[in-house]
Amino acid sequence: MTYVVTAGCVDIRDKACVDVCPVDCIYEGDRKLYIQPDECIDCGACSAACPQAAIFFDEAVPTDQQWFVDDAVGFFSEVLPGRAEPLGMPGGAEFVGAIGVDTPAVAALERAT
Amino acid sequence: MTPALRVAVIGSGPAGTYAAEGVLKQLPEAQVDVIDAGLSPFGLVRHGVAPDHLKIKSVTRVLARTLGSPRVRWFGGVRVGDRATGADLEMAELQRRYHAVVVATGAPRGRRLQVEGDHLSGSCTAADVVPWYNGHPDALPPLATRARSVVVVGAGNVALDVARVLLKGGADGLGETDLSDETLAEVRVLGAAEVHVVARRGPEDVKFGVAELRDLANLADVRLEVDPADFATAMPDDGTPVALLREWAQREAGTGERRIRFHFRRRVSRLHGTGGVESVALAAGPGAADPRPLVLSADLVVAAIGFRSEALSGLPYDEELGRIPNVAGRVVPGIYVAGWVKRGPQGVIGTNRLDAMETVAALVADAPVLAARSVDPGDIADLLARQGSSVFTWDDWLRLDAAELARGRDRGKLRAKFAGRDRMLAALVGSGSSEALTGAARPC
Repeated sequence: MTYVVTAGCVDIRDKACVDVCPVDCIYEGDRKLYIQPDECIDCGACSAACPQAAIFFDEAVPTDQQWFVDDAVGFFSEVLPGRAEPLGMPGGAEFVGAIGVDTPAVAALERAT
Repeated sequence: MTPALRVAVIGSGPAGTYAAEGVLKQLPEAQVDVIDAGLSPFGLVRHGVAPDHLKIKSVTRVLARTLGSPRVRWFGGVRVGDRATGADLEMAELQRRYHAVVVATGAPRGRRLQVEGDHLSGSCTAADVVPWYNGHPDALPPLATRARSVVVVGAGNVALDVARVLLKGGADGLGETDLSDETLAEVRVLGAAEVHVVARRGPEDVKFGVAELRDLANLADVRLEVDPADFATAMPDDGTPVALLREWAQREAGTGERRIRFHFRRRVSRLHGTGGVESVALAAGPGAADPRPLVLSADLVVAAIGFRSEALSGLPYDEELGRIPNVAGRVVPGIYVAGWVKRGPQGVIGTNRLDAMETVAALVADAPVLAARSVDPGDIADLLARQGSSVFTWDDWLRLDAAELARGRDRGKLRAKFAGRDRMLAALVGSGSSEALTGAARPC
């Protein structure tokens, strides 16, 4: 189980969640943030801090946004565009800085006009 | 160059540890001594977070990075307070030796029901019961050795944790935890099979978390009993606690022999019993579905209605709010607070990171003034050694940690603690100690 950042974050990236994450497991993509599911300790601080209410416990993600659960797994297990290997478990976002790219599915989301 | 401050942090729970981390990062020349009254670090992560929430407890991985840093010394088993009541150090002694002191001592006292019968044995608070089942060295098991029926009072996650842990433990379901064999046996013998959760609030106002409610739904053979009459007609939003409770109210409760029953908009009016608690009287609150009083049989009552900080000798204390008065973490320049003793008992672990950052910002702003003050160069390590205080070092903790991990491996789990101060010391040095309990544990 883990918490998951969903559609409400896309192109907003408020990042209030980053400051409250006790294990620094929220990584910054280009258009949204991603929680490393194996580093997340399920504390829920991010969910309470998000002004967009975009972060849900995985079992409670609204049905139409369920795909963000697997998408977050892919952000760390798949090789992202322009990178040589998967991010894996960096052990803290402070060690890697902003990642600057998204999963293909998030990159393909339509932009609000 | 930043000032080479000497900073003391009292308490190595999340708040104290994140404060120490912030000082290390923002003042690269500073040295930090972290002082803890306990024999182990991590505060409520170890003694508050429920023993079956191992993923949350894994935050220790990050906390240990700070506490094990070469710029940090950890002093375990050292109590700061009034020497007249057995403390090892006084606040004034720390102020003489450190440019800054951060107090992060938490909120270790449980609020009591304060109704007639509250003094009976079997009337406990979460501050008694949670440290006990989490293996706190100074905690005591409940005086009631058997408690088939338990009343838990409170509308927050602590209440749900207590209900779940006692029910699981009563059916031998705490195998995948970090508990000691001794504690597992005590919880099993208690044998809780029926837990009543009593909340003053209605289901739409409870502070239960969705994750904690789902934990209850995942208990095997446990009926979840919620009265449909407790709910307003408007449909709550999906994914909210009230939506989940309403869902439970509208379906068959199941057939399990064991059960959790929710009582909303009710308060405990008194506890009955001769010697020990035998029953609990509930009065209906405003808006209750059934205005009649209700009496529940119970052998154990656990009040999970809040925690209070303790005053620290030598510092101001706000009795009404139950915390040390401060502005954004600053008590006066040179003295700071972080965590529950600063803001009251609320928030999750991560809340303490942001909270500690605010405190560290105040400390860093004061740093030029603090650095100009000359401090006594004496080392508290020498002082503690001179006066014969037994101090647990970070290396001692690492050895206890390794012993717990090894004990866990033998039992096919991640970790198994040692219950009680004597067993912890024995695991560490190969012999027990007869040192008196230093905590303020109160049998209930």
